[in-house]
Amino acid sequence: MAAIPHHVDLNPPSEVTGESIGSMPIYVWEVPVRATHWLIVTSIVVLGATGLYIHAPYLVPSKPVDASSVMASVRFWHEIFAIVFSLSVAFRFYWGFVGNSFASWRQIIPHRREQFYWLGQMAKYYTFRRRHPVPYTGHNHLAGLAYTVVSIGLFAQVLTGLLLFGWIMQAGPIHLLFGWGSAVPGGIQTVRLLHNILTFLFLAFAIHHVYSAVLVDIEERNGVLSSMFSGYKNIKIGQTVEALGLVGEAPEETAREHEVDD
Amino acid sequence: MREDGVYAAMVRRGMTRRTFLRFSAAMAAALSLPAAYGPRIAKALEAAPRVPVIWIRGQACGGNTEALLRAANPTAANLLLEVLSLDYHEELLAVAGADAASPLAGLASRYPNGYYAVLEGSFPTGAAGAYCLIGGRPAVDVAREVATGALLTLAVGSCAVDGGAPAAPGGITEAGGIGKVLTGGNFIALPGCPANPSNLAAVIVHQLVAKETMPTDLAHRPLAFYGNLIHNQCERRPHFEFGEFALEWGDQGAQRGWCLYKLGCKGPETMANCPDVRYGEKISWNVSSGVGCIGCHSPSFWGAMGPAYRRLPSPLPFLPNLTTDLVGGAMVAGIGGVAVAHGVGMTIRFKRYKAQDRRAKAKAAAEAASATETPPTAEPEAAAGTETAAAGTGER
Repeated sequence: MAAIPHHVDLNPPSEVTGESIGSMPIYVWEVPVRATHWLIVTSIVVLGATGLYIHAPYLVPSKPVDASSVMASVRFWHEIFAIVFSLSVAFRFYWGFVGNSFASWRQIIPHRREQFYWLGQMAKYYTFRRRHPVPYTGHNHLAGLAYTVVSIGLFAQVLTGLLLFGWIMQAGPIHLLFGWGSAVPGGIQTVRLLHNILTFLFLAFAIHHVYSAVLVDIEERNGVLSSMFSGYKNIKIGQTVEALGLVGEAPEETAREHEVDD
Repeated sequence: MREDGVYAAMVRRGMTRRTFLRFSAAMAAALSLPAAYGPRIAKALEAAPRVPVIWIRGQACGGNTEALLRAANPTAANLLLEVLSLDYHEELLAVAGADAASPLAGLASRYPNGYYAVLEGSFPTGAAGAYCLIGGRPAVDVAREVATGALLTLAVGSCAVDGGAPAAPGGITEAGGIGKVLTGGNFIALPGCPANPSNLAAVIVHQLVAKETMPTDLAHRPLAFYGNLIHNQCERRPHFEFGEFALEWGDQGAQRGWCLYKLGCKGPETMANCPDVRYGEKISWNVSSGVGCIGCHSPSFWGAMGPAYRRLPSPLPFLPNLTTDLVGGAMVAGIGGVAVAHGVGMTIRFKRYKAQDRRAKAKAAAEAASATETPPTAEPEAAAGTETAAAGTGER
């Protein structure tokens, strides 16, 4: 299927951007995509900080204190943001089926031949073997692959968190649904270990994610950073993979000329 | 009152009515029942028949027997097992040789009304069971014979439940718990190292009184004893919520009785009623005496709950001294390092391409100038501008 960009704003691009004549803003990220993105960012920051505190409490009073329930507060906020996080992840998952083509799982999960081709091209760019990033309106497919892996991590983090919560709760619907932590091989300690390790995976991913976004923003001048606020990407006319007609067909011949000659 | 019943036997052994009632109330408490159930338990026990108990021990340290002999309600629990007619228990047998083994021969004809089997210790299956023999026969076969014919089988202690220490990683005897002995699920598991004798007594009382097996979880552990998290019942829980932790053994926090979470206490992972029933005549349990829980009531705790003094095991089992903080921190630092290095590489490359473009433009401008025979400095901006656009569009 051809992922033809829709929601095209037909303002004269020169007026909007004041920059390159050959580019125009395209509405890429819908409100739910941006909202869940920033909710997940906020949650990861709060959950990371509180979670690492719960794992290894680094604020320990030197003498007894009155009613400064540090751990209780930290756990409270961890659980509140766990709910925000879980709902955001769930809603973004749902939006992958009803949102526009850029939000669709079809663009995120690589499953067609040309997606793997462009994925390879983007990998070439990152390893200095291709001059320009793959011109893509939404996610490039290497990013899509990364988000597929990270999404599995997100779900695993929500699940392990619910298992730990069900373990502590001992009663109620959460315990009923997620009280089977002891059935995991290695017991509840394995669940705890996974929950802890996944935290670091998200921290590592955040570094990579921000770095790549800045890199592509500088290289492409397409406003990928501001697009996460405005929803619009500044796309050069006639240059995206979609516009070049490279989606849905074997792209080898057309693409070869885009590679670096050296 | 039955003449051959439990109460009659207790009275014959010199137990007063008052002690008997106190024992009934203690059992009600152990079963998490309201105090009102004490008299009902007493009444039911008066009518309860005696049931013989066969106690089989495989590979074990004997800790469960030791705990039983020093039980929280010592007279009562011992008496209970005495009136239960403990017909076979290797440590407590007075006789020896062929006489000692006689209760094990012809169990069905000897006990037409049935008997209870208690298993202690693990049962090795390696070398055809030769690692542990009872009367010259593999312990696992003896245990299977006894447990198969029993009214109810109790696996007492972690070794009997899932193999415990002999079945921990590194064990060579291919030991296992009751899973190696019984194929069905008609048993009650009382894991723990040792299992609390109060719980053992309460299971038997429940069986006598209610005439049905106690409700258990997926691991066959009675929910009355193994249905609550130690962390949720712990006397040091307020210190946890206040963020007051002992950081080292014997430091100020430890002396003040603060939470042992940072010293690897497995209370938040372990389901048991230790804080309530306690050990050693109900005097203490390990958190009270300043050492964290090691999770001994959890399934396969030797493998699953270690290391005892750290919160989490190593993420890589073959490198046991690693911590998740170390591995995770290294991973984050590594990705950060790669990003920095990559950024430097990208900057260098960007400059190189820019220089290349500039040279190409200058060359094109020079060619254009020589072709039209106009001075090369005439319109450098315009030429550069179109070249940039061309480069920008053409390359992609």
